[in-house]
Amino acid sequence: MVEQTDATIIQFNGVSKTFAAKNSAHEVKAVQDVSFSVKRGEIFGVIGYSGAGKSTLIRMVNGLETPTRGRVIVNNRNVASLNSSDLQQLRHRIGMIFQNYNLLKTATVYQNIFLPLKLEKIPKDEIKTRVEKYLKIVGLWDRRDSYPNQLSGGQRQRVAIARALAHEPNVLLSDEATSALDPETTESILTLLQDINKKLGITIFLITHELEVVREVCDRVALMDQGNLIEIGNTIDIFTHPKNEITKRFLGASDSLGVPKDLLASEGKDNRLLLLQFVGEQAKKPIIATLSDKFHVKPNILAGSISYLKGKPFGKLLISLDIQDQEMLKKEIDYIQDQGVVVKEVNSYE
Amino acid sequence: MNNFFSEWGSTLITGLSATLAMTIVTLIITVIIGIPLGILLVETNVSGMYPNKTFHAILETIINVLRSLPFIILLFLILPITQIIAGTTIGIRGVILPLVVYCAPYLARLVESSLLDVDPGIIEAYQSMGIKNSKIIFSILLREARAGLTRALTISTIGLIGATAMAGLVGAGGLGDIAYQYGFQRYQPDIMYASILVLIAVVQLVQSFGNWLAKKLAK
Repeated sequence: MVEQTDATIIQFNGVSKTFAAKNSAHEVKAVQDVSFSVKRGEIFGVIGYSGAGKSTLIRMVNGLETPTRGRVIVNNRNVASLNSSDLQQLRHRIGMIFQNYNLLKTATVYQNIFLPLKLEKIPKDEIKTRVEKYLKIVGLWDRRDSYPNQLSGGQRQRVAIARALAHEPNVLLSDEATSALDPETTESILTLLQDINKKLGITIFLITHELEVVREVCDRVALMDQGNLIEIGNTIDIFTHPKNEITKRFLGASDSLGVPKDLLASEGKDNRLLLLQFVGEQAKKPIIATLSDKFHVKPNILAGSISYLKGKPFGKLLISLDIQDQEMLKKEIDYIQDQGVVVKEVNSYE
Repeated sequence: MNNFFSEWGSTLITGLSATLAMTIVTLIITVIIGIPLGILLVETNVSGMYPNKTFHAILETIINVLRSLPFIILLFLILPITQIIAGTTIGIRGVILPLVVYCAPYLARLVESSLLDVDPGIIEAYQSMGIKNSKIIFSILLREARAGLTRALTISTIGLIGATAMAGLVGAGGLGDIAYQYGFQRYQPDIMYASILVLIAVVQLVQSFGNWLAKKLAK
């Protein structure tokens, strides 16, 4: 037993993790002297670029990795000190969801939740009750006889969530669970996670590289960079008053697509700054041109980027629209949304 | 046609039943040995659940050595061992051991590759749920690999049927032996072609059944 207050559910105590790199004498310092704790009942997010050490960090919570130095304490147990049967007991209390869902492709939705419980030797009647309960919570009870490859990515993640919940854990770990999903599906999964947190009282510890995720669901957030914990605090504080330079850069580089702050501020004075997100076919439509034809406006394009999201083109465009005619502006935004484009207002901060 | 069957019918049936007997008995033993060997190959490797460098290296070497010997060489090479284990070196009894020694390492390799095709993320997900490694292997890994395992088994069965053709050398009979004895030694092409046709039909049947089953199991 380790001294820990009841309010704390996961605690990192000076945790470091070093990997021996292949074919070289160098070591990879994935996590360096990280200390913080996650409170019971909150949604806590760790954010950072890929390679920041987030994944290693979350995998130490359920013992998929063991720290080189320091201690990770979960449910009052020092994870690394447990023998295999105690670790299995602890893991029953920690659910985990993944970017790739990791469902059995040979099993139906129902079996995917049923099987792990059966392997844990939970009585059959109890399993049946739970499978039904949690499939209803994630809204997939009527798809119980489908196979994973007949489901969309969002639905597969829901099955994975139901599978994790069916063990009735008190912590849910989310390892980039929305990173392979499009913005709208991400939104719906995030709503589900919030529901689970509120209604079932399950603590959620998530890692992500997506700002939207922490912004929308996390109570508190920690930023990691190159294995170090850079900044930690309430989500609102971090987003509105980031202290560290790296945090500022990280936050700034997202919605404003790297446009310098002073430019944003001057452009945002009498314009509305909008971030448009396009997925798949919409990325090919000339939305800005049709917008200016239809409404006789001249949107100013500040920045744009295009990348791939699960093989589909995923475009982001930062534009500014004249704010003078409020009603017109609303119509314009409605029009863009009708085209299937996700519109988000961007603050010029300050 | 009728004449042909009344003359050769019973020879062909005897040959077919010898081939089937050798194949089925060997296959059962091969599965019992080959699948655990395949699992050991995967799980004792560095990336496996029970990494053990020495054990893995020994296993690799044995399998590679056995896999490099043609069946006909193996058949004679292990005659003394066959004598001790089977009590004879001739007939169907005498050919089962060499067939198993030939076939099991082959199946083990195919099993290894189909197990490696299973997404390691799935294994990790089940570990994270607190499920024992042994249960993961037998209830999850083998289940997810079942389509690949079916294909592996189909390939080995056909390889095995091919190897039984050489069983005639130790007097075990079979279709291959008929083709050789009558067709080559006595130059009676009709019975040779007939036995070859039956052999082709058996192989076709096995492959089609394997394909059908693998597809059904894949999901």
